[in-house]
Amino acid sequence: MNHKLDSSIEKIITVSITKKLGKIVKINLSYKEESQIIQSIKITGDFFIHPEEVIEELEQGLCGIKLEKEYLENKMKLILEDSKIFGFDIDSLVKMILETCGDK
Amino acid sequence: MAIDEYLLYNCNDPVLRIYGWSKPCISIGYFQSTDEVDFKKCKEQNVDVIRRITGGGAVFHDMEVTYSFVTKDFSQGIMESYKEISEIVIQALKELGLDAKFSPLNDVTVNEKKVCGNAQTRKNNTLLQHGTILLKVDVEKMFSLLRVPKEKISDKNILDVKNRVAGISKTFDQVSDALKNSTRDIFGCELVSHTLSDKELESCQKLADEKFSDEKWTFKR
Repeated sequence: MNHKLDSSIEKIITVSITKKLGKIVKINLSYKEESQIIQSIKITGDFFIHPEEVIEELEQGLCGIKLEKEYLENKMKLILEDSKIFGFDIDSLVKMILETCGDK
Repeated sequence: MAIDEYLLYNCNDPVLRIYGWSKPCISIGYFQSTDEVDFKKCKEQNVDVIRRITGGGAVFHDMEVTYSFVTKDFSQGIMESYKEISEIVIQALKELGLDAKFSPLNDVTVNEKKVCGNAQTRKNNTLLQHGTILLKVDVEKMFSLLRVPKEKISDKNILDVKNRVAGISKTFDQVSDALKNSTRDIFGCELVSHTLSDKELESCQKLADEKFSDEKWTFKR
């Protein structure tokens, strides 16, 4: 495999956040290094989102999004607009993603 | 799990279900990765693994009373509804002489130790809350079945969990009776015993076979 031709970097990131409700959030993310576009993302943990299925919608929706605060926030707000989340919030999730991808 | 989901979609009247497990089992939350579980150890120890339709953390179901409560009449606020429904558990434990308290978001504690964890989902304008009331806890066994980073399986961490989680040292029947009493008191109602019909059991079995036993569901995350 020629790594020079493959600009995709897969980072497997485990970040835990202890918030007031003590929930853990883990993110597995891969993105194109050159374009900074998310290729795939998995958000797992012992948190709660109602309705639950919105997590798959969120993960799919974030694919193709650039790793920039504004883009990530806008997409998350749009998808999670009618959802109730316990264990993390949009700001902390965006921060986690950006910090783990190089502190943008 | 299949019966809980069946009830969620097929009940018009509120239902309290009290049950145990035919053999020890680990349930993982809807959002959790299967990486959390040591499947090899579970197989060796004949422990099943199942993914819940509710969020929250991994639970080792062994010496406990499990309950489900299904209702179409519930508070829209998540925290509020947890508090209201967990009152069934709190009053039941009080009847058994324990100083039980609600601990947001989804726990019940006695003397600052977690004795009951709960999780909810809302579908079909119906709320399902299920939870586990610990009778006894085997922290070492629980740690051996879950994939906790080695550095975290220290004596200190096991001690930490032991200090935070406790069983209530009552029998299944004592807790079961107390749960029925508290439900009667809180909702001012009579409870009508219901045995699932063959047709209902068939639907539950279909859900168990086609969803909960399917690796696609278990390993979906």
